[in-house]
Amino acid sequence: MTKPTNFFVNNEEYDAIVIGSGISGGWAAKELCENGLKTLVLERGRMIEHIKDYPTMNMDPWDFEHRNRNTPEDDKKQHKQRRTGYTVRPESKHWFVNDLEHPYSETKRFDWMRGYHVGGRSLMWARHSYRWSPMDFEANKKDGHGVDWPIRYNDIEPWYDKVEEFIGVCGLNEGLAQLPDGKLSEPMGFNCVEEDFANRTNEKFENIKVTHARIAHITGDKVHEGRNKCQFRNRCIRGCPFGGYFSSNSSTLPAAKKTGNLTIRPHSIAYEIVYDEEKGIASGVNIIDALTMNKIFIKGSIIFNCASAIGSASILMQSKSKRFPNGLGNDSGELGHNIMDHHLGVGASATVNEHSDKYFKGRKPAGFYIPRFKNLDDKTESKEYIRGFGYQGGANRSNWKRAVSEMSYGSELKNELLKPGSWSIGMGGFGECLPYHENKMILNYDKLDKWGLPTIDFDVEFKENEQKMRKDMKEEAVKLLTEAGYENVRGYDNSNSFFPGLGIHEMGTARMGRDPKTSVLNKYNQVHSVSNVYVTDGACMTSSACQNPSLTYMAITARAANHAAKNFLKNKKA
Amino acid sequence: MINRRTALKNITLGMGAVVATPTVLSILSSCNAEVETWKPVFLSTPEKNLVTHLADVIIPTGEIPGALDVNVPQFIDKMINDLESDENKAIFNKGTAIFLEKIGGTSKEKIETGLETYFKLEGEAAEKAKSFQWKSEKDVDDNEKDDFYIYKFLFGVRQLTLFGFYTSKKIGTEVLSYDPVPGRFEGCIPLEDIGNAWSL
Repeated sequence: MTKPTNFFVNNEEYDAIVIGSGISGGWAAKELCENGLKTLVLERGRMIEHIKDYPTMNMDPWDFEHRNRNTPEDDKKQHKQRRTGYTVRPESKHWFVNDLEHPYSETKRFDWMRGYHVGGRSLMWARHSYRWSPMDFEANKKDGHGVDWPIRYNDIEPWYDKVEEFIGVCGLNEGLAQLPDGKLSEPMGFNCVEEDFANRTNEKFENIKVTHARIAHITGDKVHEGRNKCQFRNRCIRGCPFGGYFSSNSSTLPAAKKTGNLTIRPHSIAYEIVYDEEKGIASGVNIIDALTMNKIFIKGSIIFNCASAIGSASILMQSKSKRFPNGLGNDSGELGHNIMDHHLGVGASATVNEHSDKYFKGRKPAGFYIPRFKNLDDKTESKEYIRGFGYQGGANRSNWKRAVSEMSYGSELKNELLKPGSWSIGMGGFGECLPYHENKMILNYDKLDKWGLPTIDFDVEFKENEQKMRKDMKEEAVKLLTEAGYENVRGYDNSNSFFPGLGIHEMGTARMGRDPKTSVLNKYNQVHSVSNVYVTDGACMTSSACQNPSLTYMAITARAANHAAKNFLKNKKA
Repeated sequence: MINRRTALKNITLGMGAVVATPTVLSILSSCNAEVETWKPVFLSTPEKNLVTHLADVIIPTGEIPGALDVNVPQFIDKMINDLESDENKAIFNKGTAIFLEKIGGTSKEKIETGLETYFKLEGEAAEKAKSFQWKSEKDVDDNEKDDFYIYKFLFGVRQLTLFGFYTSKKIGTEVLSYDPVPGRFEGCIPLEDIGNAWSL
C-alpha cells in the first residue's frame, strides 16, 4: 500500500479553515462566509451535490435490483455500519463508510456509525430538533456529575432562534419548562390513533405531554431559498430532491457559497492542526489528499474543528507538539474522554382496535414526542436514577408484511393483504447518559489505516444510572399505552441496543468547561490555551441531556463562528 | 429472450390507457408458455416447477393478477441465488428434495395437496410448524429434521412469494394505492376514499 510521502505547502491562505462539512461544519462555513471571511471547508470524503448526487431519491421498491435488500457482499463491507438495522440498505448504504476501509477497534463494543462525504450525517440524520432547557445546562452543577457547563440557556437561546428560522423546524410550542418554545412552523399533524393517544394521555397525566415531533422539515408558507416544502414521501435518508428537510447540502453550504467566500476541498483528510510554538496559536492544518496521497499544509487564521465528536478529538490527539505532547489543547487530560451517547432500543408497542375504517394520505416522517417528565421537580423525582428520558413514537397501519410468518394461502389471502391491516402504536425512549471520565477513545498506532494514520479504539460503556433509567423507560411506556386503552401492550428492551454509539449521538470528547484543568474548551468553544482553534461539534458537549443533539450543535456552532468572525474582523481593523 | 416484464409492458402499451379488466388479465395470465421457457440461475428444473406451482397456489391469478403474472418464480430464483448464504441454499435444496419425495410428484395437483398437508394445520400443530422458521439446523432433533427442511423451504417460498408479489411494479402501481409524491398529509380520512393499502 502506498503511504503518503510527498509533502507540499499550499499557496493559498485562508481566514478560516473548517474541518468537516456535516451539520456543524456547514453552519460554521455559512456564518464565517457571511461575515466576510475567506473560508476553506475540508471534507475527507467525496463531493455530494444537492439533488444531483442522490442516486436513489426517486426509486420505488421494484426499481432496486433486490427490492432494497442487501447482498452478503454489502453486509460484509459494512459489518459494523449495519448494526443499526436500517442504515445499510441499497437505498442508503452509499452514505455509510466501508468498514473494511475504515476499521476501528473496540475494547468495549461501540457502534460508530458515520459517512464520509460532503454533508456528512446531515444527509441521513433523523431530523428531530429539540431545544435543551435551562435545566439541562445546569444539571452537571446540580448533581455533581462531570463539570459545569460554561454557558446557560440564555447564552444559546438567540442562536436557537436563528438556527430554527433558517433550517425550518415544524412542531407545536407547548410552553414547557423542560422543552422551551421555539421558532416553529405548523406541525405535520397526527393520524387518528396518534391524536387519540395524545388527547387521552394529556388529559389523564398532569405532568406528561404528548406533542408533535419537532423535525427539521419545511411546513407552512415561509420561504427557504432553494428548498421546497416537505412532500411527505418519507424517503429522507436517500437525500431529498425537494430540499424538504435540512441538510448542509441543501441549505448551509449553498448559503455559504452564495457569498463568494467559500472553497470546498473534498478528498482532504485533515489529520493535524499545526501549532506555532512561538506565537502560541495554530498556523494551519495538515491534510492528506486522498486521491494523490500527498501531504499538504494549508495555512489558516482560524481553525474550526467540525469533524464529529470522534473525528475532531482524533485530529486534536494527533496534533502533538512540544507544548502539547498529549494532543493539542489537552492540558486537562480530558481530550478523548467523557464519551456519551443516548441509550435507546427500549419502549413499548400495542395494537389498536379502533379506526379500522380510517386511513391517511401522505407518509409522515415522524409522529409524536413525549418530552422528559422524570426528575423535573420533587413530585417527579425518581429514587432510582438521576436525569431523564424522552419518547419518540407513532402509529401506523400494517401492510402485507403482517402475514409473512403465517401459513395461509390462496385468493382470500391475496385479497386480504391488499387491504391495510390493523393499527399499531409504539414508542421508544432516548435516555440521558452521564459523563464518565473513564469512557474514552485512544489512538491505536499499532493498527494504521490505509493513509498511515492511527485508528481509534473505543473503551466506553453505559453504567448503573443508565441501566436503572432504562427499566423505568420500559415500564412508563407500558403504562402509557395501557392507560390509553390499547391491546397487547408489550414492553421491549433490546439488549443488543444497549451499546453506546447506536444512538449516533456520540459526544463529549473535548468538553466545554469553566476550568482549563478539567475541560478542553472555553465558553466560546475555543481550546482554552489555543484561542484560534474552535471545536463546535458533538465533541464540545459537557453533558448529553436526552434530546436529539443536532439542533444544539448548530446553535453552538453559529454562536462560536460569530464570536470568531467578530474577533477576526476587529483584529484586522486594528 | 424477451422477458415477461417487457412482454407485459408491451401489451399494456399496445392497449393504451385501458384499465386492466378480467379479460385483459386472463390474456396476460394465459401466456404460461413463457413461464416454461425462462432459465433459472439457482433452481434446478424440478425445483423450478415446484416453486412455480407453489407461487401460483399461494397467490393465484384471479380478477387481479397473481404471482405468475408478475414473475414471482423468477424473483424467488434470483433472490435466493444472489442473497442467501451457501448454508441456507443447501437447506432449501434439501427441503425441495424431501418435499417432492413426500408428495410423490411435481404436478400442480400433487403440490397443492402437499401444501395443504403441511400448511392447513390448527392449534398446537400449527404453532409447532411455524416455530421451525426461527430455528437453525442444530436446534432440531434428528427425528424432526425432515419437517425442519420442508418447513424452511415452504416458508421461504411463501415469504418470497408475498414479497415479490406485493412489491412488484404492477401490483404496486396498479392494484395497491400508489402515490410517490403525496405533497401533503391528511391524518384521518375514510378508508374508502383510498381503497387498497398504500404500496409505498
